[in-house]
Amino acid sequence: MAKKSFTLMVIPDHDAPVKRYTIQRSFLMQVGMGLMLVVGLGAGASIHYFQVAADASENRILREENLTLRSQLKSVRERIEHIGSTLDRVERFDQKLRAMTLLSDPQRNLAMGPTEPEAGSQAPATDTQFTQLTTTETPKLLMGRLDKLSAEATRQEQSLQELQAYFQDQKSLLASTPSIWPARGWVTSDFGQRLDPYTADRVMHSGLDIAAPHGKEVFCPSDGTVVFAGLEGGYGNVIVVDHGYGIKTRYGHLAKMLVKAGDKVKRGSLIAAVGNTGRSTGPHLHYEVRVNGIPQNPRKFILEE
Amino acid sequence: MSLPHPWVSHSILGVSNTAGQTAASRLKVVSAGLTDVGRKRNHNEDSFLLDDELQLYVVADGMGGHAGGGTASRIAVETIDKELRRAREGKDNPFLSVPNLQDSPIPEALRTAVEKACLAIYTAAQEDPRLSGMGTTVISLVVREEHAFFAHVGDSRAYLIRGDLIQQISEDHSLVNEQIKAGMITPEEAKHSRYKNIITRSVGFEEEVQVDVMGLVSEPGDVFLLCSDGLANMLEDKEIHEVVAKAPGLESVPKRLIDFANDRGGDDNITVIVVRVEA
Repeated sequence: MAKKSFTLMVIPDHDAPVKRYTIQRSFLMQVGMGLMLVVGLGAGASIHYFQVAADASENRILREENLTLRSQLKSVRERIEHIGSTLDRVERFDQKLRAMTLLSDPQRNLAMGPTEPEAGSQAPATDTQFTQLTTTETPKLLMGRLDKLSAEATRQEQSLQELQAYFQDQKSLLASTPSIWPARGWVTSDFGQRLDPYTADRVMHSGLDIAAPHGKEVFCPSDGTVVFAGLEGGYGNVIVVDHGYGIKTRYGHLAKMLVKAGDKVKRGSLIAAVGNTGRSTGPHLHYEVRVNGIPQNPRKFILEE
Repeated sequence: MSLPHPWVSHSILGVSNTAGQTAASRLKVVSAGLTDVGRKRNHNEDSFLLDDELQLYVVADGMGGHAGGGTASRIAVETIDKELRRAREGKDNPFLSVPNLQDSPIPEALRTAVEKACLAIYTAAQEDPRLSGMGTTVISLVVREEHAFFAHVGDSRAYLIRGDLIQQISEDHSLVNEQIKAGMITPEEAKHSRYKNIITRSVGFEEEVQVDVMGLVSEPGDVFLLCSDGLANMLEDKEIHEVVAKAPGLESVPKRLIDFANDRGGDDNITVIVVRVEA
């Protein structure tokens, strides 16, 4: 068995006594292990230090990158905000046009309403719903916004196309509305119930009687096609013009007819001369407007005085 | 009173081609006509007349009783033809040419002829109780030089086909048309109305009848089409126009239109006359 202890003798010079230390073997072992531990720790620490140092330099690069990304994100957000506000304007314009045309779009109104109100928060007003972007928004939320925006843009495109078609249609409808007087003269008998000039019975008068000298010009009050020009019973010489949209006008008691069936006429075209043919008591124009076959008061359509 | 069987066509049937009667006449007229019982009825109560000598064309759609309808329409076409021929021989010949449409006496002559027909039918119905209540529609056309005149009672129709235009000249004397004019129903609803066969005027049902007359100045190429409601109820105006425009000749038009109406169901007797004005 090995000795359990070592003796360490310190022999100083000259007069000092020799110092003798007895060291247990186990103590030496402990010291050795302690030293090894310290060295190990030191090595670990230095490795870690170098790693941290490397990270630190990378961190600087990352910080710069982060800054760039942040500013990019900001500009994207600004751009979305810009698109949003543009869409808001288009939206308001669209609503105005719709109000003008009285076009209803129930599906759209539904979509514009507070469809998904968040708990405790007011639903965004229609004029700010696309500009409500805060800096706390995450890119994920931003993506949601973008999807919403593109959906809205598509819907508005459709809506505007519809409006355009409507206005194109409206243009020809406006051209088809008999909005001017067909002849200048005095209205001697209005639309509605009246006493028949021949029999004095109470009868419906389905047009306007415009008294004017024999031969006075009769103008077409809107665009259309002549569908009849000839004699017809009590109307005498009569012209019937089909304006489309179910609107037809009739001009009775004419002296002369200057158009024939099949002719296209424009607003203001000279079509006939006032006369006294048919069941008439004096030269006048009987002017009638029928919508889907129903006689209507011609005054309803006349826009000029 | 002995009467022929009602489903025998009491008409001058066929196609003819006659130049106008006077040297002054610039326009000549070609006509064709045909009648068919349709798919649902078992006898034909329509009658029609092609008189190229007078340039008189009539379609009559009879109604009432088991023998009455055919009788009424036959009496109508015969009386109108007879009356106009007599008027031509008389001292006030309405067929003399006049320059202005509104000065022509033909509308009055036509009106008188239809009124005479009305009286004749009414009288016949009074004499034979089996025929009581019979009546007929009448749509008639007289072409005189460049003038065309129509006399009309009931829901048989006259159309003018000129180029791309097809226009109904006559206004139906029917309940649904009155409803349309009063704003009670739309023209679309009228097509499916249960009451579309009800007419508000008929020739011979009463002693007198109010006759509508129309006249217009025709042009070379114009086609006048007279028909009973058996055609008008089955086809749209556009479809009639298409058939007339696409047919190789005028003679084939009545047959084509009748076949078309029968393909659609042929609910009623179908009669068609087409008259083309040529230079």
